[in-house]
Amino acid sequence: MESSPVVSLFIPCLVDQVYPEMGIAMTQVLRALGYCVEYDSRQSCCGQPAFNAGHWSEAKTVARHCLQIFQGKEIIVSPSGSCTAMVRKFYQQLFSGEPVSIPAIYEFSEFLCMRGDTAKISGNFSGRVGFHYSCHSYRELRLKQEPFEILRKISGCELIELPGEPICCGFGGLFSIKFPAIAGAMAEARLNQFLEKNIDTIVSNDPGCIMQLRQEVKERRLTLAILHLTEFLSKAMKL
Amino acid sequence: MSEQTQFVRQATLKSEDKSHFEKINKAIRTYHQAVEKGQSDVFKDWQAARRVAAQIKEQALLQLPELLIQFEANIKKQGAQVLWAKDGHEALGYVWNIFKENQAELAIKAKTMVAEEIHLNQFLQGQGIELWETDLGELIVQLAGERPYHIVTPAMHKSLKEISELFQKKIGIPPTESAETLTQAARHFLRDKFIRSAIGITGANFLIADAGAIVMTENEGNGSLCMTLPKTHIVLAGIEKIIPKLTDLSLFLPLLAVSGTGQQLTSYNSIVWGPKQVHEVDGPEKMYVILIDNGRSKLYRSERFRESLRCIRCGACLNACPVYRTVGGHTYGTTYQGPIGALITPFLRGMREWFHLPYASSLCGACRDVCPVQIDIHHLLLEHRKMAVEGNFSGIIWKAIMKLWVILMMRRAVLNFLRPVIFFLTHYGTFLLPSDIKKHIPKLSPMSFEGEWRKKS
Amino acid sequence: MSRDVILQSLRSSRSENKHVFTSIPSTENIFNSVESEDPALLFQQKLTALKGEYLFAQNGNELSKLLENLTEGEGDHQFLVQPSALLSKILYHSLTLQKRLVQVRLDAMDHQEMERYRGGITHCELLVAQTGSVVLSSSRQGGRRLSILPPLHIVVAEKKQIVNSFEEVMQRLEKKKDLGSYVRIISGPSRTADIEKNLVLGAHGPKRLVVILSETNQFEV
Repeated sequence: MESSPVVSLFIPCLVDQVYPEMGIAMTQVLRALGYCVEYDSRQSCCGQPAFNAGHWSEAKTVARHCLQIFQGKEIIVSPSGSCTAMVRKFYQQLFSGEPVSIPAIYEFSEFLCMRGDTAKISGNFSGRVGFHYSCHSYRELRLKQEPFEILRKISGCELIELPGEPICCGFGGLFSIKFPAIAGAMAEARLNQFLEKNIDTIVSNDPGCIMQLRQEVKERRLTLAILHLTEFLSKAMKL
Repeated sequence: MSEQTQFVRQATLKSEDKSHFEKINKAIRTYHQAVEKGQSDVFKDWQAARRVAAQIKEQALLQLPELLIQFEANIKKQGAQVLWAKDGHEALGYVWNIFKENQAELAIKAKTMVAEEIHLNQFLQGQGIELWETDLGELIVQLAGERPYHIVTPAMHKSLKEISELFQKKIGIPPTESAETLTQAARHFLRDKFIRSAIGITGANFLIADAGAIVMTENEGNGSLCMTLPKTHIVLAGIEKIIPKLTDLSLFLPLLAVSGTGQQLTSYNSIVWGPKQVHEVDGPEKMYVILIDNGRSKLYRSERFRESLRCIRCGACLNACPVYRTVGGHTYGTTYQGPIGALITPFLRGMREWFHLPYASSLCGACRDVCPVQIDIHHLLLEHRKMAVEGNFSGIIWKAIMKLWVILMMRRAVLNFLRPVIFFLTHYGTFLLPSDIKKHIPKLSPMSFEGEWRKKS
Repeated sequence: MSRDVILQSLRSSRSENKHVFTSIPSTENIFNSVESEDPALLFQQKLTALKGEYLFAQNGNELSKLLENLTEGEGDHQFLVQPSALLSKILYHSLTLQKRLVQVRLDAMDHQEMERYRGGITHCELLVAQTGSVVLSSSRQGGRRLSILPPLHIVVAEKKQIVNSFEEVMQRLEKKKDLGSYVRIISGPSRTADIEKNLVLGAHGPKRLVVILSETNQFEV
């Protein structure tokens, strides 16, 4: 009998400390699709918060630690477009000049589409569903169709694509803490784009964006569900 | 008040101003529709156009000293004078000498960002010169006593009603709801100033090295009049405006028009080789090109940041930027706004006062994606942040936070040990923080993912 | 001297081995191609899309008639014409146009006087099918003022002056001699959208741009 392929989880600090349910959901979905899931508990963060803030030496320390942990792992999957972009793209900028070996890390939706796993997905979810791309997954990883490929496999929901280019929700890591008024206005504007189409569930592939949008929903007392793609699938597939 | 405090204050006010948001975003939506159409009308392969434009600009930058010398030699042969200004102060000195020599009291000018940069208007008006902005948007902000709001559409923030009220007050026209009437009023108002002005001041969108020519692109015709009617024509241009060949315009003019306004070409593109020649019936008798450095060589010195000098001032990055769309152009408090402004201002005006601009970005990358010359804007903003930290501008508190953060991230055991404390702080300890920051501090979950995983194994 | 300071600063900032690119890719395949069976038709479509006006004159008589129509109702001596053998000939044969049009030396005319005129009539260097543009030079089309000051600009051109693409225009301009000190590439009437993005024609340049295209080389009147 063929052994199931092993996937190493790359759990973003936000998921680890604030939204563990997203990591749990991702594990459930991967297992349901036939993967063996492993998790190295030494991991903590990809280093992006410090990198974004300009504290590159601190970022490098944590990034090196991260690279060491994931060395040798063949398939790494993360529920965050930001972390994936950090490792795959921004590590080059961070370590410019130094030779570093970047592991094969994939964002969750990217991974499923790459492996043809979407064929195995089926489930049910009712509601008017929209998708919010994180800027990193859209503009650094260039993921465009992948999340929709997955969402289309779920019956019962009305999938609505917004026209035009996706607009940032205002999370931007520490940006939302340094410039909260601007970030709040950006989140409001982004939510309005979904509300205009009477969407009641927003799915996203980034915990940071989700945190930002959920905060805005809470402020404005809206009845709008914001789910991570893994949570959405876990619900739809009844895992 | 520091620039940073001012910025935050303005940004907060504007972020909460819903009518401002509506106005700006209506204008930007119109822009995006026009650009989408323009791009497909003109370019079979927009991405290839960007690539080639970036390469031509990059090559021009590599040869910048040689091209500047070539430009100077060629345009001098055709009768123009070329003056070199290391900073704004020197440029203003040249301008003033020209005014004195010609005993000029009345002058007209077309839209040019570099004139804003060196505060030309305040200077000349301070010397008693009657100087009129002739671009409609610039005239509006001049009459209102404001700075331009946007590189391409300076009065984007003004509604028709506001402009009508302004014109009623300053020009003396009856109230109107017609944009046509207002435009005619401006035409009429400026007509005699065009005709009587001794000096016309313009910028240059491009300087052509092989032809020894300057190029100006516009829709209204005011720029053409500024370089047609007065006896003396002064051109102000940043040294980075050079492109190598006249034929490069076949790419750059449509590129600028499409990115700037979504047009295939603007209504008027002027190529000027010099003042009027002996056999010509009209045109300026004297032409001066003032090449301005004013911090550009500082940008040039940095190999990493040099590419920001590719900028053709199209304004596309402003229109793509979600931060710009929220806070508007005036909030930046400086000549160049939006992403490109955040990129070059610390170099042009000092890192210490302006490092907050590179931080005032969520790094979404929309700017990089729309830039017609492929400037890697948001990645360069990250480099700025690194420089700010290295230069100790970013503050001790953040340094301390980062050091603590490293300790927590490097050792799972320490992180787990301190977790209950952090949990308590995020749930019950944030009352010390201002409310708008407080709400962005995430509350820790009762158990971490690592804890959950351990539990289940 | 600042010139030396600036140049020295730029030169010293470069690393030696980075001066030359291998080659810059051509602009082939970047633009939509302009293969048109009828460049005049394409030009007409583009010009009218820009809110310019297009007219066609089969011969000198028709040209004369069109000019009479365009200059009607404004009174005597209201339209200024660039020096031109063709236009002189047209004038010679039309009493109506003699009353309405003025053809004089433009170097002696001051701005105040030229501002009186209701329209200017010029030829052009080139017409561009791809963009609906008119290319004029200051040395051959009556100076810098005539095509920008009066509120109506009429261009009298021949079909053979049409080039297909904007790219070609630049190539032609590079080769042409005696263009003078100034070239103006006009793509439609003057316009602005500075007031709430409402498009308004006739800001500071002409509100109306009319191009009269003719077939024949030498007009027989």
